[in-house]
Amino acid sequence: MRQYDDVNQGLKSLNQKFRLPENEQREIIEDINRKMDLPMTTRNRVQWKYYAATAVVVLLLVIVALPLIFDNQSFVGESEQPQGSFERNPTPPVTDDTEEVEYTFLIENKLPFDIYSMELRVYQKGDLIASPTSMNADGSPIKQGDIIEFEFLEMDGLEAGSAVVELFVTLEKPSKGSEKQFSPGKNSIMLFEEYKDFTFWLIGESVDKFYLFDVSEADLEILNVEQIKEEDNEIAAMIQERFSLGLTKEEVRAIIEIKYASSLADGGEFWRYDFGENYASPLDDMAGIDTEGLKEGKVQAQLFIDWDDENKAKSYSVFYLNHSDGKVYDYRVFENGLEKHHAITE
Amino acid sequence: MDLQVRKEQINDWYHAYSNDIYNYIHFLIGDHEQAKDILQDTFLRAYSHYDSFRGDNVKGWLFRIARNLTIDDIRKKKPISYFLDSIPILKSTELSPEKAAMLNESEQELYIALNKLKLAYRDVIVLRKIKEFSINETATILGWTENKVKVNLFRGMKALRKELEKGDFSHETV
Repeated sequence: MRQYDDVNQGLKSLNQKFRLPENEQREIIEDINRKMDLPMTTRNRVQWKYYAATAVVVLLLVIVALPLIFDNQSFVGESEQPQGSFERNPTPPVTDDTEEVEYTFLIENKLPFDIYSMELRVYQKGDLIASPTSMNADGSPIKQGDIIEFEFLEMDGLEAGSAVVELFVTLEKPSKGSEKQFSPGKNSIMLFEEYKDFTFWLIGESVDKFYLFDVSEADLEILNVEQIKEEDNEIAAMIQERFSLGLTKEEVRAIIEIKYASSLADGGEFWRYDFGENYASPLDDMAGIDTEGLKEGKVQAQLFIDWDDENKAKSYSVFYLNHSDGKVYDYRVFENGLEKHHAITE
Repeated sequence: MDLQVRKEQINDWYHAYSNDIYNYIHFLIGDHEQAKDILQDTFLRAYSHYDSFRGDNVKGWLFRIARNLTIDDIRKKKPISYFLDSIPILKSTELSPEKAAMLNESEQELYIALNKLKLAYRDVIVLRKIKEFSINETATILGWTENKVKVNLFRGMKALRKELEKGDFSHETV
């Protein structure tokens, strides 16, 4: 996360590095003003350089493509699949550059362990439409942070409408027919004519408990959580740094040494901590967030913790005032380990 | 609209956004003189197409004009590179002395890595991460869907981090 933050900060710092010197800036506006005073004319010059370059490109393409076409024709028949190996178009062939990619699925491994291969089964109307498998060409593991891309061509037969995707992963190279696959279950998605790119994150802790999370329509900025800075809010920064799922009540009490309010709701227990001197929430609802109080600085942060049956932190969220921009933010960690961070006020 | 009012409006916009737009064009093509020419053309185009401006996001509109002019310029000057979507600004990993003087060591690494990316990635990273446009504004400037912005930003940042890692690797092994 720190590295991600560094890259973002670095990019921001590049913003004003290439400035236009003041004298040149002045010269340009003088030029603009002079030209604006002239009567407007349209130029229609033939860009002969452009056309000549285009002709060269076309010629080069013809030279390169012709041998390939003849080469492919001489091998017709050799690339046919063995009969009966699959029932229906199980694996897309190597991408043919001449055919348009219809749908793209990106799956990022965000699991804390390596994967050997991924098989993505796509169903429509109950039928298995395609089930490509992908792995690194050199057999190296798919590490945390690596992205695997599945491309489906028109010939694969995916159509706009509802679909179900099911991912299977293997952790090791299979030996002598034994291949242990793990699956996070099925995800329902909608394929649209307009939106043809899907992004998924593989998240969780172990092969017994992991999820395929669809982030295609979510705001990646909200989900790509950066490190909260201490100058923005010391309490939120501390919670992000020191909290994790699975903490016990004793561990939480050791981290936060102030009083908390506790409540039972929906059969589970949750706690609320209010970080503010002499602060008492004006809301009747234990689960209510005092957005106004946060914005006015009466309370610096409100922390909510959900507990599971074993009295371990199941999920938590902290609402806080960002001192740098004056907005109230929500930072939360869900049961599946996913983090989310965004402003909830203007 | 009165041409004098229009001219004053262009002048106001120039004072407010010229540096930002120059900066953006510079990131796309990496050439000071070319960036200046395109900057001038951007405001002249805004002047001549003033009536086509709809809405209230003038900054986004100007950026869109600047981008279109930059792409036109690249297409005319480097049609093959444009066709291949690879317009390497830097011919090597060395920066010019002027640029090197402007940037500290980590900024230099980032700048070099950014300029090794394909245009679509560089474009979306510059708009989102450097110029800090929202996803919606970036989509409008680029003429893309919001989803395409997200996916390209995601892939672009990934590619950028890989380039940076490569840089680290070469430092360690040299």
